[in-house]
Amino acid sequence: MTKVTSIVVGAGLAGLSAAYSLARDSIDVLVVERGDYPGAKNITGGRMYFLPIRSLFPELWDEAPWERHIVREVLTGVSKCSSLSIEFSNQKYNNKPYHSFTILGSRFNKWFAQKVAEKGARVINKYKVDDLILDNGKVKGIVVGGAQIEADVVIAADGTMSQIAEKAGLRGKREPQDFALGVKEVIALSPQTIEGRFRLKADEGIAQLFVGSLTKGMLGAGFLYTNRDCISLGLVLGIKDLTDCHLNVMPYELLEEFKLRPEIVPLINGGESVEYSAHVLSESGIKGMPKLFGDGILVAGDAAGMAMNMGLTVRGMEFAIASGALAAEAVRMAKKQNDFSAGALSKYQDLLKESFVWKDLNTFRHAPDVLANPRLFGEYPQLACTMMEKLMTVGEEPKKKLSTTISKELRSRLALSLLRDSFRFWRM
Amino acid sequence: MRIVVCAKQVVDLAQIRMNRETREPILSGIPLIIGDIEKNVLEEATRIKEQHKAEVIALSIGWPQPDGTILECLGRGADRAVMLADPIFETLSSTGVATVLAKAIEKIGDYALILLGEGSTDNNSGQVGPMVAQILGLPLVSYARQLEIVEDKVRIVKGLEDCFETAEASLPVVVTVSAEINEPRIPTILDVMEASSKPQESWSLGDIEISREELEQHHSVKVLSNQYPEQTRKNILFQEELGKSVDSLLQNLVKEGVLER
Repeated sequence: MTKVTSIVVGAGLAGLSAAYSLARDSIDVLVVERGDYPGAKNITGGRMYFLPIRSLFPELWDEAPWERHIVREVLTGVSKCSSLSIEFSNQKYNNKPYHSFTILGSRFNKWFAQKVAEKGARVINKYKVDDLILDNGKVKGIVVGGAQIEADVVIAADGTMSQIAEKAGLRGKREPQDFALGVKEVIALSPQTIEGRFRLKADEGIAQLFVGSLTKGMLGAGFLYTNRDCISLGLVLGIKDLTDCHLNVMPYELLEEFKLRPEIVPLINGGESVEYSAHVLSESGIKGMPKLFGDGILVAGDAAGMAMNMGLTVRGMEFAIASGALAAEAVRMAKKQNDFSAGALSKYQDLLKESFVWKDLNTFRHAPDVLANPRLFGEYPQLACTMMEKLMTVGEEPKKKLSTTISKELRSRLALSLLRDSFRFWRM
Repeated sequence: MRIVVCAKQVVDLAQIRMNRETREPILSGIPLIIGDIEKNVLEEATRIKEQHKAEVIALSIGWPQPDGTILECLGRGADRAVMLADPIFETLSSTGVATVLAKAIEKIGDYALILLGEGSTDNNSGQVGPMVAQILGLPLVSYARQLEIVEDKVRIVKGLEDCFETAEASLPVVVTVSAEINEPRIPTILDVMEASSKPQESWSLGDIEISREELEQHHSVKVLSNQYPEQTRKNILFQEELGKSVDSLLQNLVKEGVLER
């Protein structure tokens, strides 16, 4: 039977990061990816926060296919016919090292996989890992289309719905509220058009988040990211709300409505939709994590639930890269002792706990509960828009004092919940 | 018995989009993959190998370097591979390609069977196989949909327009195969892993004793245009109330001759 030291299942950011680290340490590694090429199945919004991972592979980042570095953040609350945006720009975001970048999974991971192969790892595409070779609960390798490949250790980096973690018995039952559905369109426009429409210089980009009536009261948000020559536009919707929803509305219908909003139309006008995709996201944070290690197995990235909506920042890609690298580090240590038991591989969890991955996920462990508040997606954006309308509009009637308008709005039934929710948000 | 399989790398046709302004295909950034017909050719070579003692050598020329195609060939049963990569191949006509292949096959030597697809997945000129046979002075059997080795001969059923023809030829022979000949199996992951450890050779034009000047004579094909037919759309929007819009639509369809009264 064919035998290798390590197998990485899935050539996404976590898997490639693990494989790169292993190959760099001259550890025999085989990456098995089910897509036509690495990145083919990766659907990212998306933006990567660069600083947490900068020190991991410093030799790689200068030539990485970043799309644009983010210089402006926009948060937009929308009601049915109005919207209110808060725009934040920071001179520091223009300086290297850049704070965050937009990326396209298909471009980025294709490049990353090439670097992994150059380090000596074998990356095999178009094969799906069907099963694990198990011996008394110990993972001994993988089964691919009936063929068996043995390995000392398998790193499950097969994404949010990780079959591998499940087959290894590391994952318990999961609930609809642990997941969200992302639907996204990539709309091609020339770089000049993008820079003109969004007031950007070359290589600069924006990230925009939309909350409010666009999700029809369901937990979720809209997003817009500028890439080099295209825009990523999409929605994230809580799966529990989607399935419970009496509206019986399809995610793609909401995306179509989103695209038709007057805030969006002029931004994407004339662009060609070149990609349409949907993907499940993990939303439960640290509470939804599977067991991260077992005999002969480690779990990294989205497969380990390491993705999270932290309110104003949506995280995941940095966690994937860092957890992959730490999994590789644990494998390196295990190989030294030639011990790939759960005990030896538990070092992975220790390493994670010392890293930003665990710390951030732990700090924001209550975020899913705080954010599962329907008022955040319904009443509050509506309230903000209504208040602005009253403040800004001059009608036939004499205008009231600003303080009267504001206090009247706030004295409504929402006031108490607003206070309470603000406090919860504050503590998150 | 030595079988030489000629395999062409082509752009992944499934990923090509059209430029609406120039009406030309957008080829940049499209991955290069092994042609579909090549999979049938390799399957046939592998079947022969399973029945007779044979060595299968994959041969591919192209630019950029056809290493993906070579690996695919090795994963699909070829025992070793030879590739030639040179920018000059990008604009070569069929005669040029056939000349290079024939020279490389001569250098490989000791061949009994040379297998090619009946026409490539992209250009589909169908000329290269017959030209290779001509240059090497070998018999040619084209459009094979059934192939059998009987002692030192091949017996082949050819698919013609309205009938099948059975032909026999002595080895060595050039055969072009059609897609009906077999159902290519999907290589296992172990085949793919083994592929990268099989021997590969990279030859230059010098290795096959062919000069650049000689090849430049084969730049005879000039592409004048490569566009899809012009499509005109009326783009009429009926924006009256529904009943009126339907009437206007009907009237217009009748006027255009789409509907009859």
